[in-house]
Amino acid sequence: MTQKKSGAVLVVGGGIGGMQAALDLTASGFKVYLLEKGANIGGTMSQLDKTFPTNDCSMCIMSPKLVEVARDPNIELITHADLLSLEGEPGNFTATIARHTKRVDPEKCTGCGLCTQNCPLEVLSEYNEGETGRSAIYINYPQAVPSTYVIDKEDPPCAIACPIHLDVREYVGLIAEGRYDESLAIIRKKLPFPSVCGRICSHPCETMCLRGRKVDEPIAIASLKRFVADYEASSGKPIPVPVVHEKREEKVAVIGAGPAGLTCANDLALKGYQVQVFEKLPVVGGMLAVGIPDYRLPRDVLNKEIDAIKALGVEVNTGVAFGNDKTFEDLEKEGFKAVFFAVGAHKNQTLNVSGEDLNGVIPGVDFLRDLNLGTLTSLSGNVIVIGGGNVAIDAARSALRAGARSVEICYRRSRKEMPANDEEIEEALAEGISFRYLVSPVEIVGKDGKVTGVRMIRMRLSDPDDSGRRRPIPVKGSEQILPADVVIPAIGQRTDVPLLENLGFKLSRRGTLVVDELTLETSRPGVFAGGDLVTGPAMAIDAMAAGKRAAVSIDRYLRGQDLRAGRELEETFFPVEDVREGIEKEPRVAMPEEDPGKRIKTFDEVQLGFTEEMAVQEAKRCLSCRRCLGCGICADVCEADAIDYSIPPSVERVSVGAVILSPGFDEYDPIHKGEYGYGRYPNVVSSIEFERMLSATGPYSSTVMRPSDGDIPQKIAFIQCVGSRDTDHPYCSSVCCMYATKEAIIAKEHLQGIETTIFYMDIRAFGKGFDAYYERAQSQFGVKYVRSMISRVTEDPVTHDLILTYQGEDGALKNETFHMVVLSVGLEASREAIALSKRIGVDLNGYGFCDTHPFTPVSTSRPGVFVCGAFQGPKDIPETVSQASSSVAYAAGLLADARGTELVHEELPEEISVEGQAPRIGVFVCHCGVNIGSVVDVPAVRDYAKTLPDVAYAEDNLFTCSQDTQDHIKEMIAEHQLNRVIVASCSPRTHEPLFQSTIRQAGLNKYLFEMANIRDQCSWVHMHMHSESTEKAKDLVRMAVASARELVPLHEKTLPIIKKGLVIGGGVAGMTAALKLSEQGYEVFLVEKEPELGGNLRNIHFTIEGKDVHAFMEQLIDEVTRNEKIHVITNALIVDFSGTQGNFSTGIMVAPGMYYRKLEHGVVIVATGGEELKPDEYLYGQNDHVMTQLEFEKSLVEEPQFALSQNTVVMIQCVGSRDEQRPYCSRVCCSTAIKNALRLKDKNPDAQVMILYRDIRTYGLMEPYYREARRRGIIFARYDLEQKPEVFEKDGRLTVQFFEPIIKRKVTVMPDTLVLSSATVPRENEELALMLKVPRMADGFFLEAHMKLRPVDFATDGIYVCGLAHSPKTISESIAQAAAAAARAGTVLAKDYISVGGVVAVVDEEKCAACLTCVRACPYSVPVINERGKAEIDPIKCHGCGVCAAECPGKAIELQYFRDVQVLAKCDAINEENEVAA
Amino acid sequence: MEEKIAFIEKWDAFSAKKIRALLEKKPIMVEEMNVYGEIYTHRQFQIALDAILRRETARSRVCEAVSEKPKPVREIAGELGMKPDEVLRHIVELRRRNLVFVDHIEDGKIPYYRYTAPGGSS
Repeated sequence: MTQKKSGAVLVVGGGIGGMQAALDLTASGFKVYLLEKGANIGGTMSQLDKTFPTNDCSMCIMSPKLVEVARDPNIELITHADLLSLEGEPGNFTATIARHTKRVDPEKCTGCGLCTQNCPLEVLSEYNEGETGRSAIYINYPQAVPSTYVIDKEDPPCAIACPIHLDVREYVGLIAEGRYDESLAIIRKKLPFPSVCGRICSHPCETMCLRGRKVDEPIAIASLKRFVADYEASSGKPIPVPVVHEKREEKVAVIGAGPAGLTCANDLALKGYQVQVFEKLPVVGGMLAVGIPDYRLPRDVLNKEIDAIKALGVEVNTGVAFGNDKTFEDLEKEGFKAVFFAVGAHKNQTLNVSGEDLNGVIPGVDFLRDLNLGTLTSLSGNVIVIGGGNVAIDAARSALRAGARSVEICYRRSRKEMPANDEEIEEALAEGISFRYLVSPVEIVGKDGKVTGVRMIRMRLSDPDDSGRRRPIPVKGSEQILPADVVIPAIGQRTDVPLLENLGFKLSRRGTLVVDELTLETSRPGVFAGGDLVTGPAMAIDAMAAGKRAAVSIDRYLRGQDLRAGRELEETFFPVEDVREGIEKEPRVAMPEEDPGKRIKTFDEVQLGFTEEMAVQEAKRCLSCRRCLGCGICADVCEADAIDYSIPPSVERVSVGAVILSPGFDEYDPIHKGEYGYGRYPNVVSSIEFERMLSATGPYSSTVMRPSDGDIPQKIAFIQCVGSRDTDHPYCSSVCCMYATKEAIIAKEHLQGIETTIFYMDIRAFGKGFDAYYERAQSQFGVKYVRSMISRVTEDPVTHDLILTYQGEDGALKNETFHMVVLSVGLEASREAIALSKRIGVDLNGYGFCDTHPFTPVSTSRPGVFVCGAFQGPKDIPETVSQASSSVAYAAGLLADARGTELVHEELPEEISVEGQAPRIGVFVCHCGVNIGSVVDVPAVRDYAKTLPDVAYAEDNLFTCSQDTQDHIKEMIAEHQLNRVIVASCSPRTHEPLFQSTIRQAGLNKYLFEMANIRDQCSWVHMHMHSESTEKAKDLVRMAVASARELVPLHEKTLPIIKKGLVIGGGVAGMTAALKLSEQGYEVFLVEKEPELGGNLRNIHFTIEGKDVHAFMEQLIDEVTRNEKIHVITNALIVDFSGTQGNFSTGIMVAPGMYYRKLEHGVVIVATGGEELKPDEYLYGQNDHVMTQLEFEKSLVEEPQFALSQNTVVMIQCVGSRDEQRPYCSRVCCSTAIKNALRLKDKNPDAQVMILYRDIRTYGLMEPYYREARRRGIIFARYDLEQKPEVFEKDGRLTVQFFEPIIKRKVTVMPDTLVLSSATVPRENEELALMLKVPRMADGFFLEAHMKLRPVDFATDGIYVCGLAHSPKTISESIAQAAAAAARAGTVLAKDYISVGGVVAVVDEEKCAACLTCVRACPYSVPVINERGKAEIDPIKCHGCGVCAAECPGKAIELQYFRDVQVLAKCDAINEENEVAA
Repeated sequence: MEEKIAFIEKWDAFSAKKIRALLEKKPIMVEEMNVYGEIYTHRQFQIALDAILRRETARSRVCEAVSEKPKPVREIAGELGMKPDEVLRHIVELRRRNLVFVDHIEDGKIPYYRYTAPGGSS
């Protein structure tokens, strides 16, 4: 039986894509969990100033969507969270989500901002790209959703890097103050081996130390740890034995007395368990005892700490070989209830060369063990050690001490790749050990069974391998024999595989034991395992961490508790990443060492330890890294009592049917492009930093200034393709040309008279309206474009001006000085998204973006998981929005059966009739924390309100919007029989619907509400004028009361929706749209005017990726025609159209019989397509060898000999595009030309292909094909519109002549074929546009409602557009857009009824003179003159803008809720006071 | 220290109030623990406080420098012996706090700033 599908969808990423997906999903009947990693949704779009090509304010167009998401009862926002894993299958997934703690209760937080104002700490604001500061408790921007503040308590990187997360900052801090005992006590809380680790730990903490990374050298953390332990020892104190509070009866066995086993035993003993350790070796300590030489870790130091563990009651039995002397069955019989198995990895890796069995070959681990156990005491002669790890160094240094004449370490890579600790290498060098790099043994040679040398081969390094290190490759013929008396191979350790197999454990391919990563459970119940046995050879501290983890698991296991609960988040940290300003450099205190000459003669300790003075000095170097100080001030000032520092992170599981990934992208960090000086020269900024500078909410309040000195730059240069179209990023980032153009325009708008120059390779203005924008930038705004890549930026150190060197159009090198340089940084695959994909099993492509197929552009490799936005590849906002809707179509199709099953519907009480009642007004005046209250005298305003006519009740609230106040308002409505409500607070934009919903819940009609904005329009703008602000607030409240007295209830009507769709056009877009609608469960009429389906797909044979288009088309047609819900009507022409959203009626004539048919439907999708222009130039139609790209493609595919017959082919780009007649880019011709050129090269490698172009626009992931084309010898030559190529016939041969700009002369070619990359033009659609009353652009493509955020909607509700009818695009883009249109249409069809009316214009026919003013004025073409000769406004279509009411000369039209009587009452109310004042 | 805070108070009373509030927390944080149960030493508290004091003192000096007559960034920097980029960063924050305003822009190139005490007309 199949499980019932879930009606919920998880959307990951709260940028514009994620928001659109979430809103479309709930409108389509699905519950949404919207998960966002950051504290707020909004994504990159929230950081932008303006958007191209319309120059709309980004925040202004986005914030309504933010509010809509925030208010949607069916969107559950989960911010500050991560998706940990995804189990299950399409329809039934379980998503495990980590909610990081905000430390602020969202239920209580009102977003007042008091906390942030009072926080004493200032850190850099990520939102403003580090250009401004923010508090440690913050939201990113004032409109942020959710408005809950977040405390960013971040952890020091040292503690994060430590496998057991020792509280480094704390114990180092205490050493700096001489509090050594306290310091040691903090270490011992987690670690029983401070003395040992202080000596031998590889200290990952030091590698991550911020002082080391950002200032000078890392703190000597390990040595400081050693110091406090030694200090205790030298003072003669014993190691304190902790008191075990609880005694437990259960016996636990630990197999292996190494660092893992002993740490586990220690922790379990502390919890009160009876622990027995069994060890095979005669000594205790594992590798600590037999793998590390005495000169690094003296035996007595180790034994002292082991003794302290024994003192807890841990019993250690040595000489017990597990598997032989003892088995799991024995342990069970002896009453052990749990086992920790940690026998390590003590076997040597072999070299796998001949001669390893010769006398004198001693594997490294054996050598060290025998030395440590005293079974080997000396050696002599020349020693060769093979390997580059710590064991190799230990073996070499030990060999020297054991009497070797000389020791040489041979390693197959270079010093840089050597895994051994740097300090160990340095010490070895000081002791006279020599190193030979880039050699590898091929044979150990010997005589009479005894080693005489090693035959080595030289290596060279090639590309990095999986480990990130460069791979060594043998150099042929470079072998030589190095003489040796002893050879110590030390290339690694492995586990005892036969033993583990005999014990029945599951092993990995590396021979390590497989356990549950979180709990360390093995397949044997009650047996846990960890350490080298599981990880392979690792650091001692890693083994100790495993021991600790196992102890927690065993304790839970024995107590019968859940082993996993709460542990998923143990390894989740937020590191501090910045250091404060002005830290002076101060060298690390050097560790005193024994003199090399002396030390090589003994095994005495080499490092002598810090003196007290040294330790304090070193500890004082610690920067005490932290963000939130933990002072508690924010909690003190929070009036809502919302802050709780102890709120823990949590893990929750949600059931969803599908997942949509929209995690966005990372900006390229230009610090990697040293040649541009970013990070070194203050006036070189990234494009996103510049965007913030342009923004009114940015650091400079929209006046661009130079970071070096605050001067306003007069000349700004933009450098394109920074982090795009290079070796590391072979793709084009698609958006940079346009955003640079936009930034250059806006900068010029803000600063009169400045110069902006854009340096570029190709201008890729390929989107709708982009080329016109680019042209305007030049002609109207005077933005300069220079086609030249900048190789270097230098700075004048005195003025901080920047000098750019470039090749001018004339070829000569030029130097030009600019005041500021903006780097147009590319889009990179998001690191977070890559990690997420790995966690949930979604494939990525070679660039780290989500891997998708051209024909299923939003489907990931995992069924049921969809993708949208820049994670699928670089793209702009409209395409992201379109893909978001598209992914909704796929998810909604998958979950159609479960639609509506998880939606919440609000149950409302019946409305109270207020007809005939005198107004009883309630006024609620808000302090808005301090926002209003600190400026306006709120109690005075409240008291004043009580004196106004018809006010029955007035009060003031700290936060009128808080949940408890909402409940209180409802109570007051009932108690005082209020029938009008006024809230004097913030903006209706954000809060009116909330209050309206509150009074509706109390039974009042929602239109009996009025708001007075005494914050944005009063306290915020007059914050220094207290008494005047109070007076103004009173004025605003008085006006609101005057208006409220005239309020009347308004009633909305409902109309049923016809749950059918009409799709016009049977090409790929139309067919896809029809299928996606039918998958959602709706009937569809698919009307095509041709006799058969397929459209343009019939003319295209393969995609640039090489996919078979015809096979895809056949399959699509088959699916459409066999689908019972889709009624395909071919040979059909639309002849009439009427109705409104939800209730359309369309008449069609069907050939050949030409019968008339009426179709009733709720939505329309226009997919009428486009076609290739038939050129009228370059001898097209006159010479048979001149053809279009489609014709060329057809010949390539269908004529077997065609390709071979072509010696020379010339292609001309932009034929009929980007000219005066068609000023747009046809978008696909560049990639089509390259696609066909490459196909020709495949079939005939000798063919010469020449592409004459203006800009090559292989945007996004198509750029690598352009690269390949150049690599394969296809010639690209640029031409200008002013100097187009000439084509003529000469001696009967086709001749092309053009000006080559690099060699600067005319070139003549006589091609076999001339291919014209002709424009894409829309199909004839004028009549249809008139019938549907939808607008078109001047070039005939349909015009959507909003270029940025409503890319597939028409302004008329219920009608959508997709495919080539919208603009030129690829097949993949058409499919995505068609699915988007189907999803948008689905949001209408998902509802049973549509509500109309409310705030709409109403005509008084008595007064109407049918003057047509309203008809002309309405921006939506709603008013019509009806059969009675009067203006009529359809409430279904009316947008409530009020233009008609304002314009009507006869005052015949009134906008409901804003009736004249209300507005006039408000005006009178202003005057009233004036009169009184006068 | 009190002197420093008094100086800050003269130009930015709210900032001084915040510093005093933090100082009041010192006994609890250093002798007991902070709200996260982390141990603070005197020195660590001082590190945090010094950074705040240093920054706020510098900002108040910027306020003082432009309290008499409007000045551009470079002039302020010269007077105070600070780097211009540092002065600009302080001005960004002081503008956000409504303490420093752009008075005028000379030749469309060089903004001049002035200080206006809170409550004074802007």
